[in-house]
Amino acid sequence: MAVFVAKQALTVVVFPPFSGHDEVAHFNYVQTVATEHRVPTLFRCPTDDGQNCLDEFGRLTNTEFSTWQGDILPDYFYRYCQYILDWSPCEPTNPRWLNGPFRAANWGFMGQFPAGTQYAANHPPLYYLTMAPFARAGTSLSPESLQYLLRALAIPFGLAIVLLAFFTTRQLFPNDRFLLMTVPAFVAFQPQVSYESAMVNNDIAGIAFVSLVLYLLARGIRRGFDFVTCAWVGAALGLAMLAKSNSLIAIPPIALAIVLTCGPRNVRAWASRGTVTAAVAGIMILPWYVFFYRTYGNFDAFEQIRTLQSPWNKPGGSLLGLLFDRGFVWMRWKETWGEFGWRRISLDSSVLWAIAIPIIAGITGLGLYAIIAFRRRAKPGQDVGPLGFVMPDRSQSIGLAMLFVAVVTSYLAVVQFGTQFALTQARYFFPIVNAFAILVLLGGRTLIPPRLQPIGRALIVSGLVFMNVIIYTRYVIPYWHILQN
Amino acid sequence: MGDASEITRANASRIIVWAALSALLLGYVRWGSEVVSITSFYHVRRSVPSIWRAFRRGLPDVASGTAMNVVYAVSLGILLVGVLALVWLALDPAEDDAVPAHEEPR
Repeated sequence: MAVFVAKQALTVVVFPPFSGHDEVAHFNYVQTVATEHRVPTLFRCPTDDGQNCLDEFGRLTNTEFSTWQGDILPDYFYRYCQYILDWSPCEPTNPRWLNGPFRAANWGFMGQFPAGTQYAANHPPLYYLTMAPFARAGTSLSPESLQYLLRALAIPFGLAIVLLAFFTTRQLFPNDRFLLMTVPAFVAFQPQVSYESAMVNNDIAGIAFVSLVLYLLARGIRRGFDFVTCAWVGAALGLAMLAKSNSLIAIPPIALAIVLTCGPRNVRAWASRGTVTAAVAGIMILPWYVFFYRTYGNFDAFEQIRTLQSPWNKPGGSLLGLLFDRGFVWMRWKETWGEFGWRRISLDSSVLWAIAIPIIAGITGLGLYAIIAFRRRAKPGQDVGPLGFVMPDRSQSIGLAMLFVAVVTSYLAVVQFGTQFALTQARYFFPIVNAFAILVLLGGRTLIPPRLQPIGRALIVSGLVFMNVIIYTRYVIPYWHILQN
Repeated sequence: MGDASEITRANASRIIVWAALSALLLGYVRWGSEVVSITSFYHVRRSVPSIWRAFRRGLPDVASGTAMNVVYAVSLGILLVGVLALVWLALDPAEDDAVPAHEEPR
Protein backbone atom coordinates (compact mmCIF):
# COMPACT_ATOMS: atom_id res chain seq x y z
CA MET A 1 0.00 0.00 0.00
CA ALA A 2 2.86 2.37 0.85
CA VAL A 3 4.52 1.53 -2.46
CA PHE A 4 1.28 2.22 -4.33
CA VAL A 5 0.71 5.57 -2.62
CA ALA A 6 4.33 6.62 -3.22
CA LYS A 7 4.07 5.63 -6.89
CA GLN A 8 0.80 7.52 -7.25
CA ALA A 9 2.22 10.64 -5.58
CA LEU A 10 4.87 10.75 -8.29
CA THR A 11 2.30 10.04 -11.01
CA VAL A 12 0.18 12.98 -9.83
CA VAL A 13 3.04 15.43 -10.35
CA VAL A 14 4.76 13.94 -13.40
CA PHE A 15 1.92 14.99 -15.72
CA PRO A 16 1.48 18.75 -16.33
CA PRO A 17 -1.70 20.42 -15.08
CA PHE A 18 -4.90 19.55 -16.89
CA SER A 19 -3.10 17.19 -19.28
CA GLY A 20 -5.24 14.23 -18.17
CA HIS A 21 -7.96 13.00 -20.51
CA ASP A 22 -10.83 15.51 -20.41
CA GLU A 23 -9.41 16.75 -17.13
CA VAL A 24 -10.48 20.35 -17.77
CA ALA A 25 -14.08 19.26 -18.32
CA HIS A 26 -14.10 17.01 -15.21
CA PHE A 27 -12.48 19.75 -13.15
CA ASN A 28 -15.08 22.26 -14.32
CA TYR A 29 -17.86 19.77 -13.45
CA VAL A 30 -16.51 19.61 -9.87
CA GLN A 31 -16.33 23.41 -9.72
CA THR A 32 -19.92 23.76 -10.93
CA VAL A 33 -21.13 21.34 -8.25
CA ALA A 34 -19.01 23.06 -5.58
CA THR A 35 -19.89 26.65 -6.37
CA GLU A 36 -23.32 26.56 -8.02
CA HIS A 37 -24.69 23.47 -6.21
CA ARG A 38 -25.95 21.91 -9.43
CA VAL A 39 -24.70 19.53 -12.07
CA PRO A 40 -23.72 21.07 -15.42
CA THR A 41 -25.54 20.08 -18.60
CA LEU A 42 -24.29 19.45 -22.11
CA PHE A 43 -24.40 22.39 -24.48
CA ARG A 44 -27.22 21.37 -26.79
CA CYS A 45 -29.47 22.63 -29.52
CA PRO A 46 -32.99 23.38 -28.36
CA THR A 47 -34.97 21.23 -30.81
CA ASP A 48 -36.85 17.99 -30.07
CA ASP A 49 -34.69 16.62 -27.23
CA GLY A 50 -31.59 16.67 -29.39
CA GLN A 51 -33.26 15.22 -32.48
CA ASN A 52 -33.03 16.88 -35.90
CA CYS A 53 -30.07 19.07 -34.95
CA LEU A 54 -28.02 17.66 -37.83
CA ASP A 55 -28.79 17.51 -41.50
CA GLU A 56 -28.01 14.54 -43.75
CA PHE A 57 -24.36 15.63 -44.08
CA GLY A 58 -23.88 16.00 -40.34
CA ARG A 59 -24.07 19.81 -40.41
CA LEU A 60 -25.94 21.78 -37.77
CA THR A 61 -29.46 22.86 -38.63
CA ASN A 62 -29.32 25.61 -35.99
CA THR A 63 -26.18 27.70 -35.61
CA GLU A 64 -27.81 30.42 -33.51
CA PHE A 65 -25.82 29.35 -30.47
CA SER A 66 -27.42 31.99 -28.29
CA THR A 67 -30.59 29.87 -28.45
CA TRP A 68 -28.75 26.75 -27.26
CA GLN A 69 -28.89 25.52 -23.66
CA GLY A 70 -26.24 24.11 -21.34
CA ASP A 71 -22.81 24.89 -19.99
CA ILE A 72 -19.60 26.14 -21.50
CA LEU A 73 -16.09 26.01 -20.10
CA PRO A 74 -14.76 29.23 -18.53
CA ASP A 75 -12.54 31.41 -20.73
CA TYR A 76 -9.57 30.74 -18.44
CA PHE A 77 -9.25 27.18 -19.70
CA TYR A 78 -8.60 28.13 -23.31
CA ARG A 79 -4.90 28.09 -22.35
CA TYR A 80 -5.33 24.30 -22.02
CA CYS A 81 -7.19 23.98 -25.34
CA GLN A 82 -4.89 21.15 -26.46
CA TYR A 83 -6.49 19.03 -23.71
CA ILE A 84 -10.08 19.93 -24.57
CA LEU A 85 -12.51 18.36 -27.04
CA ASP A 86 -12.63 20.42 -29.18
CA TRP A 87 -11.51 24.01 -28.84
CA SER A 88 -9.67 24.46 -32.09
CA PRO A 89 -7.92 26.22 -33.71
CA CYS A 90 -5.84 25.84 -30.57
CA GLU A 91 -3.39 28.71 -30.05
CA PRO A 92 -2.81 28.75 -26.30
CA THR A 93 -0.22 31.52 -26.49
CA ASN A 94 -2.26 33.85 -28.67
CA PRO A 95 -3.22 36.79 -26.37
CA ARG A 96 -6.28 37.52 -28.49
CA TRP A 97 -7.83 34.14 -27.73
CA LEU A 98 -6.51 33.98 -24.17
CA ASN A 99 -8.40 37.13 -23.24
CA GLY A 100 -11.60 36.33 -25.10
CA PRO A 101 -11.65 32.89 -26.64
CA PHE A 102 -13.98 32.16 -29.53
CA ARG A 103 -17.13 30.16 -28.83
CA ALA A 104 -17.82 28.87 -32.34
CA ALA A 105 -15.49 27.39 -34.92
CA ASN A 106 -15.88 26.97 -38.65
CA TRP A 107 -15.27 23.43 -39.89
CA GLY A 108 -15.40 24.32 -43.58
CA PHE A 109 -17.98 22.25 -45.42
CA MET A 110 -19.38 21.05 -42.06
CA GLY A 111 -20.10 24.64 -41.10
CA GLN A 112 -20.19 26.30 -37.69
CA PHE A 113 -19.99 24.27 -34.46
CA PRO A 114 -19.84 25.44 -30.85
CA ALA A 115 -16.39 25.42 -29.20
CA GLY A 116 -15.23 25.27 -25.59
CA THR A 117 -18.35 23.60 -24.26
CA GLN A 118 -18.77 21.46 -21.14
CA TYR A 119 -18.75 18.04 -22.80
CA ALA A 120 -18.37 15.85 -19.67
CA ALA A 121 -21.73 16.88 -18.26
CA ASN A 122 -23.38 13.62 -19.33
CA HIS A 123 -21.49 11.75 -16.60
CA PRO A 124 -23.35 10.79 -13.42
CA PRO A 125 -22.67 12.98 -10.38
CA LEU A 126 -21.26 10.74 -7.63
CA TYR A 127 -17.54 11.34 -8.20
CA TYR A 128 -18.06 15.09 -8.55
CA LEU A 129 -20.23 15.25 -5.41
CA THR A 130 -17.47 13.44 -3.52
CA MET A 131 -14.85 15.93 -4.73
CA ALA A 132 -17.00 19.06 -4.30
CA PRO A 133 -16.33 19.62 -0.56
CA PHE A 134 -12.59 19.57 -1.22
CA ALA A 135 -13.00 21.94 -4.16
CA ARG A 136 -15.04 24.27 -1.94
CA ALA A 137 -12.36 24.13 0.74
CA GLY A 138 -9.72 24.91 -1.88
CA THR A 139 -11.36 27.91 -3.50
CA SER A 140 -8.42 30.12 -2.48
CA LEU A 141 -6.04 27.94 -4.50
CA SER A 142 -5.20 28.56 -8.13
CA PRO A 143 -7.01 26.23 -10.57
CA GLU A 144 -3.71 24.40 -11.13
CA SER A 145 -3.04 23.85 -7.41
CA LEU A 146 -6.63 22.75 -6.80
CA GLN A 147 -6.33 20.38 -9.73
CA TYR A 148 -3.26 18.73 -8.14
CA LEU A 149 -5.21 18.38 -4.89
CA LEU A 150 -8.11 16.71 -6.72
CA ARG A 151 -5.68 14.46 -8.55
CA ALA A 152 -4.25 13.33 -5.22
CA LEU A 153 -7.78 12.56 -4.03
CA ALA A 154 -8.06 9.95 -6.79
CA ILE A 155 -5.37 7.90 -5.05
CA PRO A 156 -7.72 6.44 -2.38
CA PHE A 157 -9.92 5.08 -5.16
CA GLY A 158 -6.89 3.37 -6.68
CA LEU A 159 -5.88 2.01 -3.30
CA ALA A 160 -9.40 0.63 -2.82
CA ILE A 161 -9.16 -1.15 -6.19
CA VAL A 162 -5.88 -2.80 -5.21
CA LEU A 163 -7.31 -3.88 -1.83
CA LEU A 164 -10.44 -5.22 -3.51
CA ALA A 165 -8.22 -7.18 -5.90
CA PHE A 166 -6.67 -8.85 -2.86
CA PHE A 167 -9.99 -9.49 -1.11
CA THR A 168 -11.70 -10.80 -4.25
CA THR A 169 -8.81 -13.21 -4.82
CA ARG A 170 -8.99 -14.28 -1.18
CA GLN A 171 -12.68 -15.10 -1.52
CA LEU A 172 -12.04 -17.35 -4.49
CA PHE A 173 -8.56 -18.71 -3.68
CA PRO A 174 -8.12 -18.21 0.08
CA ASN A 175 -4.90 -20.19 0.42
CA ASP A 176 -3.19 -19.41 -2.85
CA ARG A 177 -0.11 -17.33 -2.11
CA PHE A 178 0.72 -16.99 -5.79
CA LEU A 179 -2.55 -15.28 -6.66
CA LEU A 180 -2.84 -13.38 -3.38
CA MET A 181 0.48 -11.72 -4.13
CA THR A 182 0.51 -11.33 -7.90
CA VAL A 183 -3.09 -10.19 -8.51
CA PRO A 184 -2.90 -7.03 -6.33
CA ALA A 185 0.60 -6.38 -7.71
CA PHE A 186 -0.71 -6.62 -11.28
CA VAL A 187 -3.50 -4.14 -10.52
CA ALA A 188 -1.24 -1.78 -8.56
CA PHE A 189 1.33 -1.66 -11.34
CA GLN A 190 -1.09 -1.57 -14.29
CA PRO A 191 0.12 1.74 -15.74
CA GLN A 192 -3.15 3.04 -17.13
CA VAL A 193 -5.26 2.18 -14.08
CA SER A 194 -2.55 3.96 -12.06
CA TYR A 195 -2.85 6.89 -14.44
CA GLU A 196 -6.61 7.04 -13.85
CA SER A 197 -5.85 6.96 -10.14
CA ALA A 198 -3.81 10.15 -10.42
CA MET A 199 -6.08 12.32 -12.57
CA VAL A 200 -9.27 14.31 -12.08
CA ASN A 201 -11.82 11.97 -13.63
CA ASN A 202 -14.80 9.82 -12.76
CA ASP A 203 -13.40 6.66 -14.39
CA ILE A 204 -11.44 5.79 -11.27
CA ALA A 205 -14.60 5.93 -9.11
CA GLY A 206 -16.41 3.71 -11.63
CA ILE A 207 -13.53 1.20 -11.60
CA ALA A 208 -13.53 1.17 -7.78
CA PHE A 209 -17.26 0.53 -7.45
CA VAL A 210 -17.34 -2.16 -10.15
CA SER A 211 -14.42 -3.78 -8.32
CA LEU A 212 -16.58 -3.67 -5.18
CA VAL A 213 -19.42 -5.39 -7.09
CA LEU A 214 -17.04 -8.14 -8.22
CA TYR A 215 -15.78 -8.61 -4.66
CA LEU A 216 -19.32 -8.87 -3.28
CA LEU A 217 -20.20 -11.37 -6.01
CA ALA A 218 -17.17 -13.51 -5.14
CA ARG A 219 -18.23 -13.36 -1.49
CA GLY A 220 -21.81 -14.27 -2.39
CA ILE A 221 -20.65 -17.17 -4.54
CA ARG A 222 -18.56 -18.47 -1.64
CA ARG A 223 -21.11 -17.95 1.17
CA GLY A 224 -24.42 -17.91 -0.69
CA PHE A 225 -26.58 -15.01 -1.79
CA ASP A 226 -28.87 -14.13 1.09
CA PHE A 227 -31.07 -11.06 0.69
CA VAL A 228 -28.66 -8.85 2.64
CA THR A 229 -25.78 -9.74 0.32
CA CYS A 230 -28.02 -9.07 -2.68
CA ALA A 231 -28.93 -5.67 -1.24
CA TRP A 232 -25.22 -4.89 -0.86
CA VAL A 233 -24.57 -5.98 -4.44
CA GLY A 234 -27.44 -3.75 -5.58
CA ALA A 235 -26.07 -0.83 -3.56
CA ALA A 236 -22.60 -1.29 -5.02
CA LEU A 237 -24.07 -1.46 -8.52
CA GLY A 238 -26.07 1.69 -7.82
CA LEU A 239 -22.94 3.52 -6.66
CA ALA A 240 -21.03 2.26 -9.70
CA MET A 241 -23.72 3.52 -12.08
CA LEU A 242 -23.82 6.85 -10.28
CA ALA A 243 -20.07 7.10 -10.81
CA LYS A 244 -19.84 6.04 -14.46
CA SER A 245 -22.59 4.86 -16.81
CA ASN A 246 -20.51 2.08 -18.35
CA SER A 247 -20.83 0.24 -15.01
CA LEU A 248 -23.85 -1.35 -16.69
CA ILE A 249 -21.36 -4.01 -17.71
CA ALA A 250 -21.59 -5.37 -14.15
CA ILE A 251 -25.16 -6.58 -14.71
CA PRO A 252 -24.43 -9.80 -16.69
CA PRO A 253 -21.87 -11.09 -14.13
CA ILE A 254 -24.30 -10.27 -11.31
CA ALA A 255 -27.07 -12.24 -13.03
CA LEU A 256 -24.76 -15.15 -13.78
CA ALA A 257 -23.37 -15.31 -10.23
CA ILE A 258 -26.79 -15.26 -8.59
CA VAL A 259 -28.39 -17.77 -11.00
CA LEU A 260 -25.51 -20.27 -10.85
CA THR A 261 -25.08 -20.01 -7.08
CA CYS A 262 -28.79 -20.50 -6.41
CA GLY A 263 -29.04 -23.18 -9.12
CA PRO A 264 -30.56 -22.43 -12.55
CA ARG A 265 -33.57 -24.61 -11.80
CA ASN A 266 -34.30 -22.86 -8.51
CA VAL A 267 -36.10 -20.05 -10.32
CA ARG A 268 -37.90 -18.68 -7.28
CA ALA A 269 -34.64 -18.30 -5.34
CA TRP A 270 -32.65 -16.48 -8.02
CA ALA A 271 -35.60 -14.43 -9.25
CA SER A 272 -36.31 -13.05 -5.76
CA ARG A 273 -32.64 -12.32 -5.12
CA GLY A 274 -32.25 -10.73 -8.51
CA THR A 275 -35.28 -8.57 -7.82
CA VAL A 276 -33.83 -7.33 -4.52
CA THR A 277 -30.53 -6.52 -6.21
CA ALA A 278 -32.18 -4.69 -9.10
CA ALA A 279 -34.59 -2.86 -6.79
CA VAL A 280 -31.84 -1.46 -4.56
CA ALA A 281 -29.74 -0.37 -7.55
CA GLY A 282 -32.81 0.98 -9.34
CA ILE A 283 -33.95 3.09 -6.38
CA MET A 284 -30.46 4.56 -6.03
CA ILE A 285 -30.10 5.57 -9.66
CA LEU A 286 -33.70 6.59 -10.29
CA PRO A 287 -33.41 10.31 -9.38
CA TRP A 288 -30.39 10.75 -11.63
CA TYR A 289 -31.97 9.07 -14.63
CA VAL A 290 -35.26 10.94 -14.16
CA PHE A 291 -33.26 14.19 -14.23
CA PHE A 292 -31.29 12.91 -17.19
CA TYR A 293 -34.35 11.96 -19.21
CA ARG A 294 -36.05 15.26 -18.47
CA THR A 295 -32.93 17.13 -19.56
CA TYR A 296 -31.96 15.20 -22.68
CA GLY A 297 -34.99 13.11 -23.63
CA ASN A 298 -32.96 9.90 -23.52
CA PHE A 299 -30.83 7.92 -21.08
CA ASP A 300 -27.37 8.32 -22.62
CA ALA A 301 -27.24 11.80 -24.26
CA PHE A 302 -25.52 10.15 -27.21
CA GLU A 303 -27.69 12.18 -29.59
CA GLN A 304 -26.46 15.41 -28.02
CA ILE A 305 -22.83 14.22 -28.07
CA ARG A 306 -23.20 13.14 -31.69
CA THR A 307 -24.42 16.65 -32.47
CA LEU A 308 -21.54 18.39 -30.69
CA GLN A 309 -18.88 16.10 -32.14
CA SER A 310 -20.37 15.60 -35.59
CA PRO A 311 -17.37 16.98 -37.57
CA TRP A 312 -14.88 14.45 -36.23
CA ASN A 313 -16.39 11.70 -34.05
CA LYS A 314 -18.09 9.36 -36.52
CA PRO A 315 -19.22 5.73 -36.10
CA GLY A 316 -16.19 3.42 -36.15
CA GLY A 317 -17.75 0.49 -38.03
CA SER A 318 -19.97 -2.54 -37.45
CA LEU A 319 -19.79 -4.70 -34.33
CA LEU A 320 -18.41 -7.72 -36.18
CA GLY A 321 -16.12 -5.53 -38.26
CA LEU A 322 -14.55 -3.95 -35.17
CA LEU A 323 -14.34 -7.29 -33.33
CA PHE A 324 -12.07 -8.65 -36.04
CA ASP A 325 -10.34 -5.40 -36.99
CA ARG A 326 -6.64 -5.83 -36.15
CA GLY A 327 -6.09 -2.08 -36.09
CA PHE A 328 -8.91 -1.63 -33.58
CA VAL A 329 -7.63 -4.42 -31.33
CA TRP A 330 -4.02 -3.16 -31.49
CA MET A 331 -5.12 0.39 -30.63
CA ARG A 332 -7.01 -0.87 -27.58
CA TRP A 333 -3.90 -2.82 -26.54
CA LYS A 334 -1.75 0.30 -26.96
CA GLU A 335 -4.19 2.29 -24.83
CA THR A 336 -4.27 -0.43 -22.19
CA TRP A 337 -0.56 0.04 -21.44
CA GLY A 338 0.40 3.42 -22.86
CA GLU A 339 -0.97 6.47 -24.66
CA PHE A 340 -1.85 8.14 -21.33
CA GLY A 341 -5.15 9.76 -22.14
CA TRP A 342 -4.58 12.03 -25.12
CA ARG A 343 -2.64 9.42 -27.12
CA ARG A 344 0.52 11.50 -26.99
CA ILE A 345 2.82 8.87 -25.50
CA SER A 346 2.91 5.70 -27.58
CA LEU A 347 4.92 2.73 -26.39
CA ASP A 348 7.12 0.96 -28.96
CA SER A 349 5.69 -2.23 -30.40
CA SER A 350 8.62 -4.17 -28.88
CA VAL A 351 7.53 -3.07 -25.38
CA LEU A 352 3.89 -3.82 -26.18
CA TRP A 353 4.83 -7.31 -27.37
CA ALA A 354 7.02 -7.86 -24.30
CA ILE A 355 3.91 -7.21 -22.23
CA ALA A 356 1.66 -9.23 -24.52
CA ILE A 357 3.69 -12.44 -24.51
CA PRO A 358 3.35 -13.30 -20.79
CA ILE A 359 -0.31 -12.31 -20.92
CA ILE A 360 -0.92 -14.56 -23.92
CA ALA A 361 0.84 -17.32 -21.94
CA GLY A 362 -1.50 -16.61 -19.01
CA ILE A 363 -4.58 -16.78 -21.24
CA THR A 364 -3.29 -20.06 -22.73
CA GLY A 365 -2.79 -21.42 -19.21
CA LEU A 366 -6.31 -20.35 -18.31
CA GLY A 367 -7.67 -22.21 -21.32
CA LEU A 368 -5.73 -25.29 -20.29
CA TYR A 369 -7.00 -24.99 -16.74
CA ALA A 370 -10.60 -24.66 -17.94
CA ILE A 371 -10.35 -27.65 -20.31
CA ILE A 372 -8.76 -29.95 -17.72
CA ALA A 373 -11.16 -28.84 -14.99
CA PHE A 374 -14.13 -29.42 -17.30
CA ARG A 375 -12.95 -32.89 -18.31
CA ARG A 376 -12.29 -33.96 -14.72
CA ARG A 377 -15.38 -32.39 -13.18
CA ALA A 378 -17.19 -35.71 -12.76
CA LYS A 379 -14.19 -37.69 -11.55
CA PRO A 380 -13.76 -37.43 -7.78
CA GLY A 381 -10.28 -38.01 -6.42
CA GLN A 382 -8.53 -36.19 -9.27
CA ASP A 383 -8.02 -32.90 -7.47
CA VAL A 384 -4.58 -32.19 -8.85
CA GLY A 385 -3.85 -31.22 -12.44
CA PRO A 386 -0.87 -32.24 -14.62
CA LEU A 387 1.52 -29.52 -13.35
CA GLY A 388 0.39 -29.88 -9.75
CA PHE A 389 -2.32 -27.20 -9.79
CA VAL A 390 -5.43 -27.78 -7.73
CA MET A 391 -8.72 -28.29 -9.56
CA PRO A 392 -11.40 -25.68 -8.86
CA ASP A 393 -14.26 -26.44 -6.49
CA ARG A 394 -17.83 -25.41 -7.39
CA SER A 395 -17.52 -21.89 -5.93
CA GLN A 396 -14.29 -21.29 -7.76
CA SER A 397 -15.79 -22.52 -11.03
CA ILE A 398 -18.76 -20.17 -10.71
CA GLY A 399 -16.49 -17.34 -9.62
CA LEU A 400 -14.21 -17.79 -12.60
CA ALA A 401 -17.19 -17.99 -14.97
CA MET A 402 -18.49 -14.75 -13.44
CA LEU A 403 -15.14 -13.00 -13.90
CA PHE A 404 -14.88 -14.28 -17.46
CA VAL A 405 -18.35 -12.95 -18.30
CA ALA A 406 -17.39 -9.59 -16.76
CA VAL A 407 -14.29 -9.37 -18.96
CA VAL A 408 -16.08 -10.39 -22.16
CA THR A 409 -19.05 -8.08 -21.52
CA SER A 410 -16.74 -5.19 -20.83
CA TYR A 411 -14.77 -5.65 -24.02
CA LEU A 412 -17.95 -6.03 -26.07
CA ALA A 413 -19.23 -2.79 -24.55
CA VAL A 414 -16.10 -0.99 -25.76
CA VAL A 415 -16.60 -2.45 -29.24
CA GLN A 416 -20.29 -1.55 -29.21
CA PHE A 417 -19.45 2.04 -28.22
CA GLY A 418 -16.99 2.09 -31.12
CA THR A 419 -19.83 1.33 -33.54
CA GLN A 420 -21.33 4.69 -32.59
CA PHE A 421 -18.24 6.77 -31.89
CA ALA A 422 -14.78 6.17 -33.36
CA LEU A 423 -13.35 7.71 -30.20
CA THR A 424 -13.95 4.59 -28.12
CA GLN A 425 -11.12 3.90 -25.68
CA ALA A 426 -9.56 1.05 -23.73
CA ARG A 427 -10.22 2.80 -20.41
CA TYR A 428 -13.88 1.91 -20.75
CA PHE A 429 -12.97 -1.72 -19.93
CA PHE A 430 -10.72 -0.88 -16.97
CA PRO A 431 -13.53 -1.58 -14.46
CA ILE A 432 -12.81 -5.27 -14.94
CA VAL A 433 -9.08 -4.96 -14.22
CA ASN A 434 -9.40 -7.14 -11.10
CA ALA A 435 -11.30 -9.84 -13.00
CA PHE A 436 -8.74 -9.79 -15.81
CA ALA A 437 -5.83 -9.96 -13.36
CA ILE A 438 -7.27 -12.97 -11.53
CA LEU A 439 -7.98 -14.87 -14.75
CA VAL A 440 -4.62 -14.18 -16.42
CA LEU A 441 -2.57 -14.87 -13.32
CA LEU A 442 -4.54 -18.04 -12.60
CA GLY A 443 -3.56 -19.08 -16.12
CA GLY A 444 0.05 -18.18 -15.37
CA ARG A 445 -0.02 -20.14 -12.12
CA THR A 446 -1.38 -23.14 -14.00
CA LEU A 447 1.76 -23.24 -16.14
CA ILE A 448 4.22 -22.90 -13.24
CA PRO A 449 4.93 -26.02 -11.16
CA PRO A 450 4.33 -25.42 -7.42
CA ARG A 451 8.05 -25.82 -6.60
CA LEU A 452 8.91 -22.89 -8.88
CA GLN A 453 6.08 -20.62 -7.84
CA PRO A 454 8.10 -18.42 -5.44
CA ILE A 455 10.45 -17.60 -8.30
CA GLY A 456 7.47 -17.15 -10.63
CA ARG A 457 5.90 -14.71 -8.15
CA ALA A 458 9.12 -12.74 -7.85
CA LEU A 459 9.58 -12.60 -11.62
CA ILE A 460 6.03 -11.36 -12.12
CA VAL A 461 6.33 -8.70 -9.40
CA SER A 462 9.73 -7.51 -10.59
CA GLY A 463 8.56 -7.64 -14.21
CA LEU A 464 5.69 -5.32 -13.32
CA VAL A 465 8.07 -2.99 -11.48
CA PHE A 466 10.52 -2.93 -14.41
CA MET A 467 7.71 -2.28 -16.85
CA ASN A 468 6.68 0.83 -14.89
CA VAL A 469 10.25 2.06 -14.43
CA ILE A 470 10.92 1.70 -18.15
CA ILE A 471 7.63 3.27 -19.25
CA TYR A 472 8.23 6.32 -17.07
CA THR A 473 11.98 6.59 -17.75
CA ARG A 474 11.85 5.98 -21.49
CA TYR A 475 8.55 7.62 -22.40
CA VAL A 476 6.63 9.67 -19.84
CA ILE A 477 9.37 11.74 -18.17
CA PRO A 478 11.22 12.51 -21.43
CA TYR A 479 7.96 13.48 -23.13
CA TRP A 480 6.85 15.95 -20.47
CA HIS A 481 10.09 17.06 -18.83
CA ILE A 482 12.73 16.94 -21.56
CA LEU A 483 11.04 17.35 -24.94
CA GLN A 484 8.52 19.97 -23.82
CA ASN A 485 11.20 22.17 -22.21
CA MET B 1 10.10 -28.82 2.86
CA GLY B 2 10.47 -30.43 6.27
CA ASP B 3 14.15 -31.28 5.86
CA ALA B 4 16.64 -28.71 7.28
CA SER B 5 18.98 -28.88 4.30
CA GLU B 6 16.09 -28.26 1.93
CA ILE B 7 15.08 -25.19 3.94
CA THR B 8 18.66 -23.89 3.80
CA ARG B 9 18.76 -24.48 0.04
CA ALA B 10 15.43 -22.71 -0.44
CA ASN B 11 16.63 -19.74 1.60
CA ALA B 12 19.90 -19.63 -0.30
CA SER B 13 18.13 -19.55 -3.65
CA ARG B 14 15.78 -16.90 -2.27
CA ILE B 15 18.75 -14.69 -1.38
CA ILE B 16 20.48 -15.30 -4.72
CA VAL B 17 17.41 -14.54 -6.85
CA TRP B 18 16.51 -11.49 -4.74
CA ALA B 19 20.06 -10.15 -4.96
CA ALA B 20 20.12 -10.67 -8.73
CA LEU B 21 16.77 -8.94 -9.32
CA SER B 22 17.67 -6.10 -6.94
CA ALA B 23 21.04 -5.61 -8.62
CA LEU B 24 19.33 -5.51 -12.00
CA LEU B 25 16.87 -2.86 -10.86
CA LEU B 26 19.38 -0.75 -8.95
CA GLY B 27 21.95 -1.11 -11.72
CA TYR B 28 19.45 0.16 -14.29
CA VAL B 29 18.43 3.07 -12.07
CA ARG B 30 22.06 4.05 -11.34
CA TRP B 31 23.91 3.25 -14.57
CA GLY B 32 21.21 2.63 -17.17
CA SER B 33 20.48 4.89 -20.12
CA GLU B 34 17.63 5.42 -22.56
CA VAL B 35 17.33 6.86 -26.05
CA VAL B 36 15.14 9.96 -25.99
CA SER B 37 13.56 10.94 -29.30
CA ILE B 38 13.83 14.70 -29.73
CA THR B 39 12.27 14.44 -33.22
CA SER B 40 11.59 11.42 -35.41
CA PHE B 41 15.14 11.81 -36.81
CA TYR B 42 17.01 13.14 -33.81
CA HIS B 43 17.59 10.79 -30.89
CA VAL B 44 19.76 11.40 -27.84
CA ARG B 45 20.96 8.85 -25.30
CA ARG B 46 20.45 10.08 -21.74
CA SER B 47 21.36 8.41 -18.48
CA VAL B 48 18.50 7.23 -16.27
CA PRO B 49 19.56 9.51 -13.35
CA SER B 50 19.62 12.55 -15.66
CA ILE B 51 16.09 11.73 -16.90
CA TRP B 52 14.81 11.56 -13.32
CA ARG B 53 16.67 14.76 -12.44
CA ALA B 54 14.79 16.45 -15.29
CA PHE B 55 11.57 15.25 -13.65
CA ARG B 56 12.63 16.76 -10.32
CA ARG B 57 13.49 20.07 -11.97
CA GLY B 58 10.06 20.05 -13.64
CA LEU B 59 8.07 19.47 -10.46
CA PRO B 60 4.94 21.65 -10.46
CA ASP B 61 5.15 25.11 -9.01
CA VAL B 62 2.53 24.53 -6.32
CA ALA B 63 2.97 24.71 -2.55
CA SER B 64 6.60 25.42 -1.67
CA GLY B 65 9.46 24.11 -3.77
CA THR B 66 10.97 22.46 -0.70
CA ALA B 67 7.74 20.60 0.05
CA MET B 68 7.57 19.27 -3.50
CA ASN B 69 11.18 18.15 -3.33
CA VAL B 70 10.49 16.38 -0.02
CA VAL B 71 7.43 14.63 -1.52
CA TYR B 72 9.55 13.61 -4.50
CA ALA B 73 12.46 12.29 -2.42
CA VAL B 74 10.28 10.49 0.14
CA SER B 75 8.10 8.88 -2.55
CA LEU B 76 11.13 7.71 -4.48
CA GLY B 77 12.73 6.33 -1.30
CA ILE B 78 9.57 4.45 -0.30
CA LEU B 79 9.24 3.11 -3.83
CA LEU B 80 12.78 1.76 -3.99
CA VAL B 81 12.80 0.18 -0.54
CA GLY B 82 9.21 -1.05 -0.91
CA VAL B 83 9.83 -2.68 -4.27
CA LEU B 84 12.86 -4.54 -2.97
CA ALA B 85 10.81 -5.69 0.04
CA LEU B 86 7.98 -6.80 -2.27
CA VAL B 87 10.31 -8.98 -4.32
CA TRP B 88 11.75 -10.44 -1.12
CA LEU B 89 8.25 -11.31 0.12
CA ALA B 90 7.32 -12.78 -3.24
CA LEU B 91 10.26 -15.16 -2.97
CA ASP B 92 9.06 -16.55 0.36
CA PRO B 93 9.50 -20.30 -0.07
CA ALA B 94 6.95 -21.20 2.66
CA GLU B 95 4.22 -23.49 1.40
CA ASP B 96 0.64 -22.33 1.07
CA ASP B 97 -1.40 -22.25 4.27
CA ALA B 98 -2.96 -25.60 5.05
CA VAL B 99 -6.46 -24.29 4.43
CA PRO B 100 -8.57 -26.35 2.06
CA ALA B 101 -9.69 -24.40 -1.02
CA HIS B 102 -13.33 -24.79 -0.09
CA GLU B 103 -12.90 -23.31 3.38
CA GLU B 104 -14.35 -19.85 3.82
CA PRO B 105 -11.91 -16.99 4.09
CA ARG B 106 -12.32 -14.71 7.05
